Amino acid sequence: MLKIKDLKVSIENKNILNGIDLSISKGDMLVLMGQNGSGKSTLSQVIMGSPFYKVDGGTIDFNDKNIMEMDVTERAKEGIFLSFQYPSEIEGVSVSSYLRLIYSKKTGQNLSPIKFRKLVKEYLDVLKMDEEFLKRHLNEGFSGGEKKRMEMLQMLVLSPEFVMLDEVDSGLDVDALKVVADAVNYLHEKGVTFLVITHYSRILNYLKPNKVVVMSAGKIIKEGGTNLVEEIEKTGYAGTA
Amino acid sequence: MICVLINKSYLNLNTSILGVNAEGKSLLSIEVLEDTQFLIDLEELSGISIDFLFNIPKVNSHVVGLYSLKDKQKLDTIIRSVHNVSDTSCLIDIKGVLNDDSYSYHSGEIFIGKEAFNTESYLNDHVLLLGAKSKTISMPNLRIHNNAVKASHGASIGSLNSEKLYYLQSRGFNKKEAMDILVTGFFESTFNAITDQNMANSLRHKLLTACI
Amino acid sequence: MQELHNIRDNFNNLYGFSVAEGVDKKPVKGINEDVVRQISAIKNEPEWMLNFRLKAYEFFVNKPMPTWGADLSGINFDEIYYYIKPESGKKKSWDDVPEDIKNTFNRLGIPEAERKFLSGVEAQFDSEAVYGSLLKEIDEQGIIFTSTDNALKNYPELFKKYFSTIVDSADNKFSALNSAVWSGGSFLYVPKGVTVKRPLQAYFRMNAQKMGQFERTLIIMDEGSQAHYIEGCTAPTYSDDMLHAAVVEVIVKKDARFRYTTIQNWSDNVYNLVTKRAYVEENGIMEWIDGNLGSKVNMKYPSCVLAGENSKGEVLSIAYANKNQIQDAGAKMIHLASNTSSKIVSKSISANGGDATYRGLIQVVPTAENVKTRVECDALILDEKSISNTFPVMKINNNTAVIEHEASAGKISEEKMFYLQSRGLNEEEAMGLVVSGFIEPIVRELPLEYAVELNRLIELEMEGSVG
Repeated sequence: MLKIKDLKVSIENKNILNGIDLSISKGDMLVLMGQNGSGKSTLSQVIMGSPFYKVDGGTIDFNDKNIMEMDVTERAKEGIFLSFQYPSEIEGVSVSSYLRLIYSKKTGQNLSPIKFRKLVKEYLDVLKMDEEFLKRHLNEGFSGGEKKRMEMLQMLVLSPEFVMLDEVDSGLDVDALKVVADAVNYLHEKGVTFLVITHYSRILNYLKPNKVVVMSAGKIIKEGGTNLVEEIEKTGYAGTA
Repeated sequence: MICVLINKSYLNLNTSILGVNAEGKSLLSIEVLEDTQFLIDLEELSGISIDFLFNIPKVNSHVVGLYSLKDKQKLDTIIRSVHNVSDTSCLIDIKGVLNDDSYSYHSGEIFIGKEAFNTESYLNDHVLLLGAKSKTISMPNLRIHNNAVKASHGASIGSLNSEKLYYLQSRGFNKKEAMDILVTGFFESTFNAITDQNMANSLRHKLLTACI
Repeated sequence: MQELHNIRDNFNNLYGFSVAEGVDKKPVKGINEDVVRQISAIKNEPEWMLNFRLKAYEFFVNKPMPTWGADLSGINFDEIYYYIKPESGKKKSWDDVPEDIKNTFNRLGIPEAERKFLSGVEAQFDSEAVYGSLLKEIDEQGIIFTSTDNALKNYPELFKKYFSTIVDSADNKFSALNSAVWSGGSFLYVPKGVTVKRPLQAYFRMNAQKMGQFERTLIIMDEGSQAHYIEGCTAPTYSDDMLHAAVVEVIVKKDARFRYTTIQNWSDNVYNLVTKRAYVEENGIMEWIDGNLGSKVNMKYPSCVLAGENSKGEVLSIAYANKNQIQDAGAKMIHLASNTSSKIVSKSISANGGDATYRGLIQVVPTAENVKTRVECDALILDEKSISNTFPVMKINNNTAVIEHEASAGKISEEKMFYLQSRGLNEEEAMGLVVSGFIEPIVRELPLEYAVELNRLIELEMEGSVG
């Protein structure tokens, strides 16, 4: 599904990604680990089409299409979704009208507020979120945990094909973590492909990844199965260098 | 960041950059050539308009002006940051305490020209009106001609928080002592931002004893 | 339906004014003392009003043009018809209306656009039923809601007691002009303790007269009363008058509460210069909600004179400056009494080379204790051609005042754009969403139909602003 070849990325003349080769097959759940500054987050941002980074070389193919020429909106339409590590606050825009808007953009369906509310209610229940959320303004004044749940809610509403979770577990307590994992597993079972970026392994207790990749200084230094996670737990990242 | 003190001596050494502005007021035009922190002695330069000109890209500046007035002292400050080229930043911090019958007039302006992409410019202007007859006029302006910028200003005029005064007094400080503590707190964050410790200390000495 | 018919029949008696016989009604360009006399004569006004107009005309002649603000040099005072206009030989038809205006109406989904646009008055004939029952209601409560011309005639003592007490003729050149040639406008008196439940709309007066260039509005809220008055129209309103100089005076008496909402979208040939001021007594509350769209130059600074203890003033202002437009708007709060508070929220958007400026004044006199004020000015500059200026002034002469002011300007952050686009919105849609969120704090204070129309209008204004 996703084929990355020799990807080189920099920001303000500083090299962040130094030749990344990565393949993700449909239905995979790939865990990307690495220390802070290894470039994990950058990789997900570049796949999404962030304007803040400069691609210096390499290719990214999604479903056999070269997406490098596509802007972020087009990539979203292709079915790529990024759960941001630091979601933006959009003042004055209610969650309910925002969700209805992105839903209608994705599906072409303009559901009435009542029908849409029913749809969203299901997702709210899965994420153990109160209906009150719908009245609040998008991410405005949200705690870290609430912001992450809001990302998950958008994920469910958009039903993407490929989801990248950028440190979705940071700042979440155990209950919230379980809820997020439930949502992820729910979609994974339906065939959605996942790239899970994390630093800690906590969330991996609730997920079933089939591949693990470790990054360091902008390069992939190790690939393997879930046993790799245990190794890192025991010896830290230094052990993988 | 190098630290430069702008006071009467500076004026005397740099008469070439002293001119007159459109309203006939003395104008000191300072070109910011490298990352610099400017400490302005607002009392010595009262009545003189000061322009910080950004004509060289990728330069950053912090302008600090602190003052404390008493009796019937008057202060007149006009400070502008003028951004003509891209990628410059400026933070102007003006803080003052007015005791007794004193008066201050502040005009501050951030000007961002059409070519000044990626400018970041901020103006903070805070006044404590402590004297029963103290007065102030504040006019922080923004003139923005390029949108790829971050510009904001914040101004506040007020007195000391009465709850905090009460809290300190309940710990045994008398009213004067409590006020001094709060005034010190008011200035402290800016003192800490001054890169030259000697200058910071002499300012501390000047301002905090002025309050007594 | 029978009821409505009666209203239409009585219309001229109730809301029109009788025109004096034998007075010269030839259209005259330019202004001089004779024109002022002619206006007063045609309206059959009492002597004191004629003298008032003449004195105001003198002030107008002697007062210089303002040295600050937008460029008003394009106003040619000699080319303006101040009262009697020539009949246009050809009746304006929908075909003559510019294409883009027609499109706006279609896109906004406004029914009967033609009548609305061409009449200049939002004569909402489809609201007759509402109008009828409202009239009955206000009549029963002793409320007076009529045209200013009519109020002068039928309520002379009340009128004379308050007229020009808040805005002096000599206040500025344009209040002087208005005082000399004023015609039309609303007069509202709400008696003690009365609450008007539904918002009173300017068009309910159905004066069938073209929305005036020199409207004079006078509103008196007696003690303990409450009302909400709305004027204007979000849809583009065509005016062949180049200069609109209106004056609005509001008196909010003890314990009364009043909200004045204006949304105006004049065609881009208009200089719209308005003096709006409220005088607020003890415990009174005054709210100005100001939507500034359209016009070539729009200058408006709703003010509150907080004269009574505990009184409050608030201004919520939106301005959208599009190509070749100057929106110069703001607010003034004058604190004369103790324990008064004020709040100003100004949101401006400039696009396509438009110029949006905020001008404000907060003044606290030495005897006003414990005043609290908060000012927030945010400016969104959508592209590199556009401009934003912020000129606040704070004159604080009492040391117990607590004044806070914040202003910011810039474009929509790239982070926000990326975030929203990653959800499938294109650049234009993402900007539109952020802009609607930006103005939300003010839009939510508008009655629903206005809010919906305003949002849609801003969406339309933005089309073509992107890339």
